Amino acid sequence: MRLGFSDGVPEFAAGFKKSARVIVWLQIISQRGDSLKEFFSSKKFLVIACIAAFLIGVMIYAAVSSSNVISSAIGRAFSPLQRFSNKISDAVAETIDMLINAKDYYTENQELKEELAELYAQISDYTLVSQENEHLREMIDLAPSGNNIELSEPCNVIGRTANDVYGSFFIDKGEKDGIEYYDPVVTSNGMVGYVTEVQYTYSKVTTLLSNELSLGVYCVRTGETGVIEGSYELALDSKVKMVYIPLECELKKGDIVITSGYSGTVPKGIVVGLVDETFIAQNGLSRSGYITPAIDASELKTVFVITDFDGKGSAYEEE
Amino acid sequence: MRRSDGSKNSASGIKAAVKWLFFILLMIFGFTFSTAGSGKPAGLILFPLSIAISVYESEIPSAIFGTCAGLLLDVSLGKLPGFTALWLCLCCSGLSALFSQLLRKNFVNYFLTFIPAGGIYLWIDYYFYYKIWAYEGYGLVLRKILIPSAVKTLIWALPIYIIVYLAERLSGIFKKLSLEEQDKNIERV
Repeated sequence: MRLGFSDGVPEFAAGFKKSARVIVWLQIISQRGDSLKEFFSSKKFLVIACIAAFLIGVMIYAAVSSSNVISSAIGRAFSPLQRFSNKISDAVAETIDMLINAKDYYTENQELKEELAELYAQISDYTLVSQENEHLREMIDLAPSGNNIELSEPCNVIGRTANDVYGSFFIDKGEKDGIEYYDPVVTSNGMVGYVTEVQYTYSKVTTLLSNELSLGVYCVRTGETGVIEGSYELALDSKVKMVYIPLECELKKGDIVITSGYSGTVPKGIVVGLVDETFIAQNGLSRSGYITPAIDASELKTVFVITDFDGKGSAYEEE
Repeated sequence: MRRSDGSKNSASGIKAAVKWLFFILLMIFGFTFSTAGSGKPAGLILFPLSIAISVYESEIPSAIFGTCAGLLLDVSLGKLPGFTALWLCLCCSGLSALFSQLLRKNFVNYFLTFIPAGGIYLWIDYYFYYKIWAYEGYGLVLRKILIPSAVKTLIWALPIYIIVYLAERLSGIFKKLSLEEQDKNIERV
C-alpha cells in the first residue's frame, strides 16, 4: 500500500467545498442581517415607531377617560353593519336550532300548555286579591305603590363582545337617547344588567354575571335579603352567587329573588332570578346561594334601559 | 412605448386598489363576524388576516393594516383601544420585514410565524386581563374561553391565508417568469 500526497486531495477538496458553502451561507445571512439593520435605521421604521407611539397615546387616553373617541367613531361607523350581520347570524342560528331541536320544543310546548292552564286558574284568584287590595288602599287613602319607572325606547342588540365570559353586548341606543352610565337594563321578564359604556350612538351592557357588579336583592316569598355577585367560574354556568343571607333562612329551590332597590341604582321589585341552592358560607356566620338569572343574555334581541325612576342615585338609607 | 408603460402602470394600480378594497372588506367581515352570534368563543379572523397580509406586503402598509385590524379587534373584544392594535402593528411590520429579507413567502413560514405571534398575544391577554387580577376562577377563562378561541383562530388561519394568497396572485404581485424571445444569432445545438 502506497501512501502519497495525491491520496488526501479528494478529502481535502470535499472539506474545502463544505467550508466554502458555510462561508457563503454566513455571507448571505450577514447581508440579510445588514439589510435588516438598514430597515431599523430607515424612514419606514420611523413611521412604524410613530404609529406605535400614537397607539400608546390612544391606550393611555382610553385608560384615563371614560369616553373614547376611537371606540365611538368605530361604533358609529359599524353599528348598521353589526345590526345587519347580527340579524343574519340570529336567523341562521334560529333555523338550525329549529331543525335540530324540533322534538324537544314539541315536548316543551305540551308542558307549557299544562302550566298555562294552571296559571289561568291562579289568575282568577290573583284578580280577586288585587281588587281587594285596591279597595283596602282606597279605604286607608294610601297612594298606589310604584317606582315611576321611565323606560327608554326598545333597544336592539347589535353585537356581542367576543370572548366575554359574562356575555356583555352592545345596544343601538347611546348618549343621544338619554342613556347614562350604570342605568339598569331590563326586559319584561326581569333584570339583565347595567350600562357600563356609553358612546354617542351605542352603549355596552354588562350582565349580572359580571364580577364587577353587586346588587341588593330579596326573596319574594320569605323576604330574606342578600347581595348577588358574579364570578368567572359561575358565569360559565350562567349563575350568580347570593351572599350575606341570614343563617336561619327559609330559602328553597325555585324561590323568586327580586331587586331590593336599596342602592338607588335600580328600582325595587325587578325579577333577578330563581334560587338554585343554598349552603353555609365559609365564615360560618351566614349562608350563600346560587341564583339562576331570569334572563339568558345570549338569547336577547331587544331590551329596555331604565333611564329614570323614583330614588335614582340616592340610597334608601339616606332618605 | 411610453404609452404602453403608462397603461401597464395604471392597470397594476387599479389591481392594487381592488386588492386593498378586498382586504378592507375582509377586515369589515372579520369584525362583524366576531361581534355577531351568541357570545360563545369566536375565532378572531382579523388576527390571521393581518399576519397573512404582512407576508406579502411591505412594512408600512402591513403596520397600518395591523393597526386598523387591531383597533377593530379591541372594540369587538371590549379591550382597551390600542391594546391589540399596538401588538398587531409591531408584529405585522416586523414580520413583513422578516418576510422581505429572510423568510420565504409560503404557507409553512406563515404558520411558523403566526403561531408564536398568536401565542404571545394569548399570553399577554390572559396575563393582563385575568391573571394579574387573580379573580376567583380566572384559570377557567383560559381553558374555557381563550384557548377554544385560539384554536378556532388557528383553524381560520388556513382559509384566510389561501384567500390572501389568491388575492395577491390575482393582483399580479408575483413575478412572472417568461422565456426570452428567440435570437437568430444564438447557435442552437
